[in-house]
Amino acid sequence: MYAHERSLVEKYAGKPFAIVGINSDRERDKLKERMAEEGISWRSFFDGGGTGGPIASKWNVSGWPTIYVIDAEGRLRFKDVRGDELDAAIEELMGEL
Amino acid sequence: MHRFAFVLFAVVAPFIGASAQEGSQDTSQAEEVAVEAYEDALDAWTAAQAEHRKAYRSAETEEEQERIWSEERPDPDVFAPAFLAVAAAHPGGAVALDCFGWVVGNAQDEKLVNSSLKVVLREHLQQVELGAFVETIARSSTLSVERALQTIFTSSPHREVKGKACYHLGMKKLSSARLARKVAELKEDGQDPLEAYKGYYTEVALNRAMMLDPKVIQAVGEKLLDRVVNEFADVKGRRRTLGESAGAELFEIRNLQIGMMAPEIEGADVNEKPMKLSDFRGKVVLLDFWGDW
Repeated sequence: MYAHERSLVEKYAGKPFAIVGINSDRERDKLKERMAEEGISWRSFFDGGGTGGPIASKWNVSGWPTIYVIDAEGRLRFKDVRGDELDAAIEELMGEL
Repeated sequence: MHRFAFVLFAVVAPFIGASAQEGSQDTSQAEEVAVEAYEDALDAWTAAQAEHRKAYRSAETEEEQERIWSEERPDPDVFAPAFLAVAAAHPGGAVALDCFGWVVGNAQDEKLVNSSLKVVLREHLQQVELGAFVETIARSSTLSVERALQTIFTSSPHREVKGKACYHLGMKKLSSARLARKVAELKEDGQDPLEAYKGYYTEVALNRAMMLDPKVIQAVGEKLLDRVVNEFADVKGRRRTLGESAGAELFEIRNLQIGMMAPEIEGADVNEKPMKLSDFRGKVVLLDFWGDW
């Protein structure tokens, strides 16, 4: 997933696209190290240090990763698309701008 | 649970009167024998599963691996009689309930499942231990389990048991509604659901899904979860309270459907800098719930 996400960041550099993470890792410092190692430049909410964090709980997330694609108006448009489908979903929404 | 009860009893026993102590030692000894018999049955099953995983891992080719996975998987129906024998030898108690729970949760043969449910509803319906049983059988998606949950919800005298039955019955209704919607979509596309979902769902389940009105079942499921939130919110489930679980499910249904505005998220990033989802309005956002594991 990291490689795919890095490629999306690169592809849409300078365009109105963003990855927003909601992270459920336990340790903040270790996570920061790992993000640096993996070249994760996009921002993530730190969700309380575990899978039972307030954001994931409210959004009823029980499997990781769980993905939503949101359009520029803030509407939920796709859920749990992966691979080529994810690329196509983002491309479609970028095309609406 | 029963094991804990036994340990607790062993601690308390020395402090009660001599004659009572004698009687309770008999009881706890019988309980101990029952627990051991149940654990033997469980060990045999666990060992068979471990062996299967080991064979799967040590297979040399992919075909071999696939064959082992599908053909050599331990058959729960072969192990069920051992559990039923323990239940028959120690009827009415917590161990019997654990045994029936295993059979209903694992057995493929509907006759085994149905006869176990029948005994439980006849002999255990008043017991508070039925709460754990409800959680165990909720894994199974047969109609008879759904009916048993309905009976337990209606008839159990314990609020905790009722709440669990209400929650799991509601979740079952919602998943029935989901399947009914998928089946209806397939039919609209001119496909045969029995063919398209062969191997994923039983023919019985698919035929039933085709007869259901998804909207009606969805409403029934939501109503049950609303009742959980209103009447049983504080009852503890496996990971969190039933109120939290049912509330999150309803929140997803009512606020997280495709086409709806994304609910605001407010929090802080990994560097403790405040952030909001709406900060990204005007951009296409890939929202990724993730963990580095």
